[in-house]
Amino acid sequence: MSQERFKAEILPIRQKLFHIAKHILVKEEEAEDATQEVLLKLWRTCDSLGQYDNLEAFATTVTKNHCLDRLKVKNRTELIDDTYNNHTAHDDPHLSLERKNTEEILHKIIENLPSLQQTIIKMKDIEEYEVEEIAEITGTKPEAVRVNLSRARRKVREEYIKWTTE
Amino acid sequence: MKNIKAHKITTAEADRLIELYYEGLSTVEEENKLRNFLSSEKLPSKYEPEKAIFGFFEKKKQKPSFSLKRSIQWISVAAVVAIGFFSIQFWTSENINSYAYIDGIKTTDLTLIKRQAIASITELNSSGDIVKETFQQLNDKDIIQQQLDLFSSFE
Repeated sequence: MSQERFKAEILPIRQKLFHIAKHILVKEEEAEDATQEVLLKLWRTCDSLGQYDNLEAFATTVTKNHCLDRLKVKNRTELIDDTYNNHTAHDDPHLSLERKNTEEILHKIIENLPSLQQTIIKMKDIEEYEVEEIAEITGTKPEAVRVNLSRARRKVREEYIKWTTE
Repeated sequence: MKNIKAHKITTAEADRLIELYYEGLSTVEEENKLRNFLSSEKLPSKYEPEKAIFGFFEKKKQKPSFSLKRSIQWISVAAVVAIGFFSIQFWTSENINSYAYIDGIKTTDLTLIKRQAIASITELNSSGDIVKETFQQLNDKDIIQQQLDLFSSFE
Protein backbone atom coordinates (compact mmCIF):
# COMPACT_ATOMS: atom_id res chain seq x y z
CA MET A 1 0.00 0.00 0.00
CA SER A 2 1.28 3.42 -0.91
CA GLN A 3 1.82 6.21 1.57
CA GLU A 4 -0.77 8.22 -0.36
CA ARG A 5 -3.37 5.54 0.25
CA PHE A 6 -2.46 5.52 3.92
CA LYS A 7 -3.07 9.25 4.12
CA ALA A 8 -6.26 9.03 2.09
CA GLU A 9 -7.85 6.05 3.84
CA ILE A 10 -6.41 5.74 7.34
CA LEU A 11 -6.05 9.34 8.47
CA PRO A 12 -9.74 10.19 7.86
CA ILE A 13 -10.81 7.49 10.37
CA ARG A 14 -8.45 8.82 13.05
CA GLN A 15 -11.32 10.26 15.06
CA LYS A 16 -13.17 6.96 14.97
CA LEU A 17 -10.09 5.07 16.18
CA PHE A 18 -9.66 7.62 18.94
CA HIS A 19 -13.22 6.99 20.16
CA ILE A 20 -12.61 3.25 20.27
CA ALA A 21 -9.42 3.83 22.25
CA LYS A 22 -11.17 6.18 24.64
CA HIS A 23 -13.92 3.65 25.18
CA ILE A 24 -11.36 1.08 26.36
CA LEU A 25 -8.79 3.26 28.10
CA VAL A 26 -11.23 5.90 29.45
CA LYS A 27 -8.60 8.62 29.93
CA GLU A 28 -8.44 11.06 27.02
CA GLU A 29 -4.67 11.45 27.21
CA GLU A 30 -4.05 7.72 27.10
CA ALA A 31 -6.50 7.28 24.24
CA GLU A 32 -4.68 9.96 22.24
CA ASP A 33 -1.32 8.26 22.82
CA ALA A 34 -2.79 4.90 21.85
CA THR A 35 -4.30 6.33 18.68
CA GLN A 36 -0.97 7.78 17.62
CA GLU A 37 0.73 4.48 18.35
CA VAL A 38 -1.81 2.55 16.28
CA LEU A 39 -1.33 4.94 13.37
CA LEU A 40 2.44 4.49 13.58
CA LYS A 41 2.00 0.75 13.79
CA LEU A 42 -0.22 0.75 10.71
CA TRP A 43 2.23 3.01 8.92
CA ARG A 44 5.12 0.68 9.56
CA THR A 45 3.17 -2.25 8.12
CA CYS A 46 2.09 -0.07 5.19
CA ASP A 47 3.37 -2.58 2.63
CA SER A 48 1.21 -5.41 3.84
CA LEU A 49 -1.91 -3.26 4.38
CA GLY A 50 -2.82 -3.55 0.70
CA GLN A 51 -4.04 -7.12 1.21
CA TYR A 52 -6.93 -6.07 3.47
CA ASP A 53 -10.13 -5.32 1.61
CA ASN A 54 -11.70 -3.46 4.47
CA LEU A 55 -9.00 -1.21 5.88
CA GLU A 56 -11.34 0.48 8.30
CA ALA A 57 -12.35 -2.82 9.88
CA PHE A 58 -8.71 -3.85 10.09
CA ALA A 59 -7.66 -0.56 11.68
CA THR A 60 -10.51 -0.89 14.17
CA THR A 61 -9.37 -4.36 15.19
CA VAL A 62 -5.76 -3.22 15.55
CA THR A 63 -6.90 -0.35 17.77
CA LYS A 64 -8.98 -2.60 20.01
CA ASN A 65 -6.19 -5.15 20.42
CA HIS A 66 -3.62 -2.46 21.02
CA CYS A 67 -5.68 -0.84 23.77
CA LEU A 68 -6.36 -4.16 25.45
CA ASP A 69 -2.64 -4.99 25.33
CA ARG A 70 -1.95 -1.61 26.83
CA LEU A 71 -4.14 -2.40 29.78
CA LYS A 72 -2.28 -5.68 30.28
CA VAL A 73 1.15 -4.05 29.97
CA LYS A 74 0.15 -1.42 32.49
CA ASN A 75 -0.53 -4.09 35.08
CA ARG A 76 2.68 -5.88 34.23
CA THR A 77 5.01 -2.86 34.38
CA GLU A 78 3.69 -2.05 37.82
CA LEU A 79 4.96 -5.46 38.90
CA ILE A 80 8.29 -4.97 37.14
CA ASP A 81 8.80 -1.62 38.82
CA ASP A 82 8.39 -3.29 42.19
CA THR A 83 11.01 -5.93 41.50
CA TYR A 84 13.32 -3.35 39.98
CA ASN A 85 13.15 -1.22 43.10
CA ASN A 86 13.78 -4.21 45.33
CA HIS A 87 16.88 -5.11 43.36
CA THR A 88 18.45 -1.67 43.48
CA ALA A 89 17.93 -1.55 47.21
CA HIS A 90 20.39 -4.42 47.71
CA ASP A 91 23.96 -4.14 46.68
CA ASP A 92 24.05 -7.16 44.44
CA PRO A 93 27.53 -7.66 42.90
CA HIS A 94 26.05 -9.40 39.84
CA LEU A 95 23.72 -6.52 39.27
CA SER A 96 26.46 -3.91 39.46
CA LEU A 97 28.41 -5.94 36.93
CA GLU A 98 25.36 -5.96 34.76
CA ARG A 99 25.08 -2.23 35.17
CA LYS A 100 28.36 -1.80 33.41
CA ASN A 101 26.98 -3.24 30.24
CA THR A 102 25.98 -0.02 28.48
CA GLU A 103 24.00 -1.64 25.74
CA GLU A 104 21.91 -3.71 28.09
CA ILE A 105 21.20 -0.76 30.33
CA LEU A 106 20.07 1.46 27.48
CA HIS A 107 17.99 -1.33 26.03
CA LYS A 108 16.18 -1.75 29.35
CA ILE A 109 15.70 1.98 29.81
CA ILE A 110 14.12 2.37 26.38
CA GLU A 111 11.92 -0.69 26.85
CA ASN A 112 10.58 0.88 30.02
CA LEU A 113 9.57 4.15 28.36
CA PRO A 114 5.85 4.73 27.79
CA SER A 115 5.11 2.96 24.52
CA LEU A 116 4.36 6.03 22.39
CA GLN A 117 7.59 7.68 23.52
CA GLN A 118 9.37 4.43 22.79
CA THR A 119 8.02 4.26 19.24
CA ILE A 120 8.84 7.91 18.57
CA ILE A 121 12.40 7.76 19.89
CA LYS A 122 13.04 4.60 17.86
CA MET A 123 11.63 6.15 14.69
CA LYS A 124 13.65 9.33 15.14
CA ASP A 125 16.95 8.01 16.50
CA ILE A 126 17.17 4.65 14.75
CA GLU A 127 15.01 4.88 11.64
CA GLU A 128 15.85 8.55 11.03
CA TYR A 129 12.36 9.94 10.53
CA GLU A 130 12.00 13.70 10.94
CA VAL A 131 9.57 15.03 13.56
CA GLU A 132 7.37 16.50 10.80
CA GLU A 133 7.07 13.11 9.11
CA ILE A 134 6.00 11.41 12.34
CA ALA A 135 3.48 14.20 12.95
CA GLU A 136 2.01 13.69 9.51
CA ILE A 137 1.57 9.94 10.08
CA THR A 138 0.00 10.36 13.52
CA GLY A 139 -2.20 13.24 12.40
CA THR A 140 -0.83 15.49 15.14
CA LYS A 141 1.07 18.74 15.27
CA PRO A 142 4.90 18.47 15.16
CA GLU A 143 4.90 20.12 18.58
CA ALA A 144 3.14 17.12 20.12
CA VAL A 145 5.71 14.74 18.64
CA ARG A 146 8.55 17.00 19.72
CA VAL A 147 7.32 17.03 23.33
CA ASN A 148 7.15 13.25 23.45
CA LEU A 149 10.54 12.91 21.81
CA SER A 150 12.09 15.40 24.21
CA ARG A 151 10.61 13.62 27.22
CA ALA A 152 11.87 10.27 25.97
CA ARG A 153 15.40 11.53 25.33
CA ARG A 154 15.68 13.33 28.68
CA LYS A 155 14.37 10.26 30.46
CA VAL A 156 16.94 8.03 28.74
CA ARG A 157 19.77 10.37 29.80
CA GLU A 158 18.50 10.71 33.35
CA GLU A 159 18.03 6.96 33.79
CA TYR A 160 21.36 6.18 32.19
CA ILE A 161 23.20 8.45 34.62
CA LYS A 162 21.27 6.93 37.50
CA TRP A 163 22.16 3.38 36.48
CA THR A 164 25.82 4.02 35.78
CA THR A 165 26.79 6.19 38.73
CA GLU A 166 24.89 4.48 41.51
CA MET B 1 38.65 9.66 7.03
CA LYS B 2 39.98 13.12 6.18
CA ASN B 3 36.52 14.16 5.12
CA ILE B 4 35.00 13.14 8.42
CA LYS B 5 37.63 15.04 10.36
CA ALA B 6 37.10 18.13 8.24
CA HIS B 7 33.40 18.05 9.14
CA LYS B 8 33.96 17.75 12.87
CA ILE B 9 32.18 20.41 14.83
CA THR B 10 33.52 22.51 17.68
CA THR B 11 32.67 21.79 21.32
CA ALA B 12 30.49 24.90 21.45
CA GLU B 13 28.56 23.74 18.39
CA ALA B 14 28.22 20.28 19.91
CA ASP B 15 26.82 21.75 23.13
CA ARG B 16 24.28 23.72 21.13
CA LEU B 17 23.23 20.61 19.18
CA ILE B 18 22.98 18.53 22.35
CA GLU B 19 20.60 21.10 23.76
CA LEU B 20 18.51 20.96 20.59
CA TYR B 21 18.61 17.16 20.74
CA TYR B 22 17.06 17.05 24.21
CA GLU B 23 14.46 19.60 23.14
CA GLY B 24 13.55 17.30 20.26
CA LEU B 25 14.39 20.09 17.84
CA SER B 26 17.45 18.76 16.04
CA THR B 27 17.17 17.44 12.49
CA VAL B 28 18.52 14.07 11.38
CA GLU B 29 21.39 15.90 9.70
CA GLU B 30 22.33 17.77 12.87
CA GLU B 31 22.19 14.54 14.82
CA ASN B 32 24.58 12.96 12.35
CA LYS B 33 27.02 15.80 12.94
CA LEU B 34 26.66 15.26 16.67
CA ARG B 35 27.18 11.52 16.33
CA ASN B 36 30.34 12.20 14.41
CA PHE B 37 31.57 14.49 17.17
CA LEU B 38 30.67 11.99 19.90
CA SER B 39 32.45 9.09 18.20
CA SER B 40 35.78 10.79 18.87
CA GLU B 41 38.23 8.98 21.16
CA LYS B 42 39.34 11.89 23.31
CA LEU B 43 36.19 13.39 24.69
CA PRO B 44 35.58 15.23 27.96
CA SER B 45 33.80 12.93 30.43
CA LYS B 46 30.75 15.21 30.54
CA TYR B 47 29.76 13.81 27.14
CA GLU B 48 29.79 10.23 28.43
CA PRO B 49 25.97 9.73 28.50
CA GLU B 50 25.50 11.17 25.01
CA LYS B 51 28.40 9.11 23.68
CA ALA B 52 26.78 5.95 25.07
CA ILE B 53 23.30 6.84 23.84
CA PHE B 54 24.37 7.79 20.32
CA GLY B 55 26.64 4.76 20.15
CA PHE B 56 23.73 2.55 21.19
CA PHE B 57 21.40 3.91 18.50
CA GLU B 58 24.13 3.68 15.89
CA LYS B 59 24.54 -0.01 16.70
CA LYS B 60 20.78 -0.54 16.45
CA LYS B 61 20.73 1.14 13.04
CA GLN B 62 23.18 -1.37 11.64
CA LYS B 63 21.81 -4.50 13.23
CA PRO B 64 18.51 -5.16 11.43
CA SER B 65 19.76 -4.63 7.88
CA PHE B 66 22.85 -6.71 8.55
CA SER B 67 21.11 -9.69 10.04
CA LEU B 68 18.39 -9.61 7.39
CA LYS B 69 20.87 -9.54 4.54
CA ARG B 70 22.94 -12.27 6.12
CA SER B 71 20.01 -14.53 6.86
CA ILE B 72 18.77 -14.19 3.28
CA GLN B 73 22.22 -15.12 2.05
CA TRP B 74 22.37 -18.11 4.34
CA ILE B 75 18.91 -19.26 3.40
CA SER B 76 19.79 -19.19 -0.29
CA VAL B 77 23.02 -21.08 0.34
CA ALA B 78 21.13 -23.67 2.36
CA ALA B 79 18.48 -23.97 -0.34
CA VAL B 80 21.04 -24.56 -3.07
CA VAL B 81 22.80 -27.19 -0.95
CA ALA B 82 19.51 -28.90 -0.13
CA ILE B 83 18.34 -28.94 -3.74
CA GLY B 84 21.71 -30.30 -4.85
CA PHE B 85 21.67 -32.99 -2.20
CA PHE B 86 18.14 -34.15 -2.94
CA SER B 87 18.57 -34.15 -6.70
CA ILE B 88 21.71 -36.27 -6.42
CA GLN B 89 19.86 -38.70 -4.17
CA PHE B 90 16.88 -38.76 -6.52
CA TRP B 91 18.82 -39.45 -9.70
CA THR B 92 21.22 -42.00 -8.29
CA SER B 93 18.50 -43.90 -6.41
CA GLU B 94 16.35 -44.10 -9.53
CA ASN B 95 19.13 -45.57 -11.64
CA ILE B 96 19.90 -48.28 -9.12
CA ASN B 97 16.47 -49.18 -7.81
CA SER B 98 14.07 -48.77 -10.75
CA TYR B 99 12.50 -51.98 -11.99
CA ALA B 100 9.24 -53.36 -13.34
CA TYR B 101 7.40 -56.64 -13.22
CA ILE B 102 6.44 -58.17 -16.55
CA ASP B 103 4.20 -61.20 -16.16
CA GLY B 104 5.51 -61.66 -12.61
CA ILE B 105 9.17 -61.45 -13.58
CA LYS B 106 11.28 -58.60 -12.24
CA THR B 107 13.24 -56.77 -14.92
CA THR B 108 15.43 -53.65 -15.24
CA ASP B 109 15.67 -53.68 -19.04
CA LEU B 110 14.38 -50.23 -20.00
CA THR B 111 13.50 -50.98 -23.69
CA LEU B 112 11.61 -54.12 -22.75
CA ILE B 113 9.63 -52.25 -20.08
CA LYS B 114 8.75 -49.48 -22.52
CA ARG B 115 7.57 -51.92 -25.16
CA GLN B 116 5.41 -53.80 -22.67
CA ALA B 117 4.01 -50.58 -21.24
CA ILE B 118 2.95 -49.25 -24.66
CA ALA B 119 1.42 -52.60 -25.54
CA SER B 120 -0.67 -52.69 -22.34
CA ILE B 121 -1.84 -49.09 -22.81
CA THR B 122 -3.12 -49.89 -26.33
CA GLU B 123 -4.78 -53.00 -24.99
CA LEU B 124 -6.45 -50.96 -22.24
CA ASN B 125 -7.78 -48.50 -24.80
CA SER B 126 -9.67 -51.18 -26.67
CA SER B 127 -10.87 -52.96 -23.53
CA GLY B 128 -12.18 -49.58 -22.28
CA ASP B 129 -14.42 -49.37 -25.33
CA ILE B 130 -15.80 -52.81 -24.64
CA VAL B 131 -16.62 -51.86 -21.05
CA LYS B 132 -18.37 -48.70 -22.21
CA GLU B 133 -20.41 -50.54 -24.78
CA THR B 134 -21.60 -53.12 -22.28
CA PHE B 135 -22.62 -50.41 -19.84
CA GLN B 136 -24.50 -48.48 -22.46
CA GLN B 137 -26.59 -51.55 -23.19
CA LEU B 138 -27.71 -51.75 -19.57
CA ASN B 139 -29.99 -49.09 -18.14
CA ASP B 140 -29.96 -47.90 -14.51
CA LYS B 141 -32.77 -50.20 -13.47
CA ASP B 142 -30.86 -53.25 -14.65
CA ILE B 143 -27.74 -52.20 -12.77
CA ILE B 144 -29.68 -51.67 -9.53
CA GLN B 145 -31.42 -54.99 -9.95
CA GLN B 146 -28.09 -56.70 -10.56
CA GLN B 147 -26.57 -55.19 -7.41
CA LEU B 148 -29.61 -56.13 -5.33
CA ASP B 149 -29.40 -59.71 -6.59
CA LEU B 150 -25.76 -59.78 -5.70
CA PHE B 151 -26.43 -58.58 -2.13
CA SER B 152 -29.30 -60.98 -1.56
CA SER B 153 -27.12 -63.85 -2.70
CA PHE B 154 -24.82 -63.17 0.28
CA GLU B 155 -27.57 -63.73 2.81
